[in-house]
Amino acid sequence: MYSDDILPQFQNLRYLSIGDDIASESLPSHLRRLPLLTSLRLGPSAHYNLIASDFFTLLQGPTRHPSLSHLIFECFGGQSGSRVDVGANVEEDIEEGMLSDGWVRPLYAENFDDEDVAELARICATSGIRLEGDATSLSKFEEDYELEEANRSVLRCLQLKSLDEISWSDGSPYFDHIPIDHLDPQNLNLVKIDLPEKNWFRLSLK
Amino acid sequence: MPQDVIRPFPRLESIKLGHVTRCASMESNSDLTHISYEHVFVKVIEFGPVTRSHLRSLEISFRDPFGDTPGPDPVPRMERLDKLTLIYCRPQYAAEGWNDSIADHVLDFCPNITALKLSDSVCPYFRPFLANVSHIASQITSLELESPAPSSTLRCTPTISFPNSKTFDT
Repeated sequence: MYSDDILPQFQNLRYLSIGDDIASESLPSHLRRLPLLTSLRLGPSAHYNLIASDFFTLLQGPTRHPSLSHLIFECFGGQSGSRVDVGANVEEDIEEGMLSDGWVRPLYAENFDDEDVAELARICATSGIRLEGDATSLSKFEEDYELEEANRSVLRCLQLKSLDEISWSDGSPYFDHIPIDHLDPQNLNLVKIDLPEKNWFRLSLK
Repeated sequence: MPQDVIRPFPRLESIKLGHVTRCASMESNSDLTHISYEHVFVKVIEFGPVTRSHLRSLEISFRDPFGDTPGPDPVPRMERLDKLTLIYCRPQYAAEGWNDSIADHVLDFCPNITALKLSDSVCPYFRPFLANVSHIASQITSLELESPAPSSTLRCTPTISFPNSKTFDT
């Protein structure tokens, strides 16, 4: 049960904010019937029923909404946490450990994934629509999440003298920056590369 | 009494009260433009006329959409109230939804609102409520329909207590 079909009765809406379980996939057609709407906020998980290609028709082309000029897209809910220290003991379940330390992976939807987010940013830029929210920082957040995951995986490999944490089941490397060919699990050495622009570091093995 | 608590802050413009039953004693704070409180029911509590006349924004958190307690009669109107926020702190097991009686309770006293915010972390099906406010739909320019994570709404217990008070539940 969704509530968005009742929205057209609010004919003079300028600002609309909706959260999870409010919007159906028909949201774009309901919003078209709000001619004065200038600012739309989609809160955590509000994108879950949306179909990206349908939503984009609101933002560009002949079916573009006549007045929508500000989009706050805060659906994905990623969260940065604390970074692991080089000497830290890393637990078996790396993702669980990251969650305990405050890292939360963004939540994509079946019909609104990371590629759609990139497309959303491109369309808004082209259409002159001001885009705010986590949709604007998702790629940087994904980069940071992966860096933290890789650093923990490297430390876990050192602890266990194993390459399991940085390899797929077919033996290919899990992380692009950590080639596993020629690595000897019994003779692993830590490589630390400082990343001053992030005030952080990247760990690898040799 | 709440007045004793807020007296050192004569320029106070906004206050979050926690669980209350009535607030008439806030009368002398004429600068208050926003009040937030919690009540078991969707209840318009009695403010003094000065507070009523200045108030622009009111936030009510409630746990029971059906019940009621005796209140001011007639319900005082707040003609200048611009924004109304209703937060249903629904227990996980509660089946009662956003029915039209909620709208009947609250909209008579704030006839001129232009901003409406509804929040429910368990079952944010606001349609029955919204269908019942069609008579003021055209004056609403800002609408927020929120479903925050449950952990952020564990707030319908008294957040401020006033020992020896006759006007606050603790």
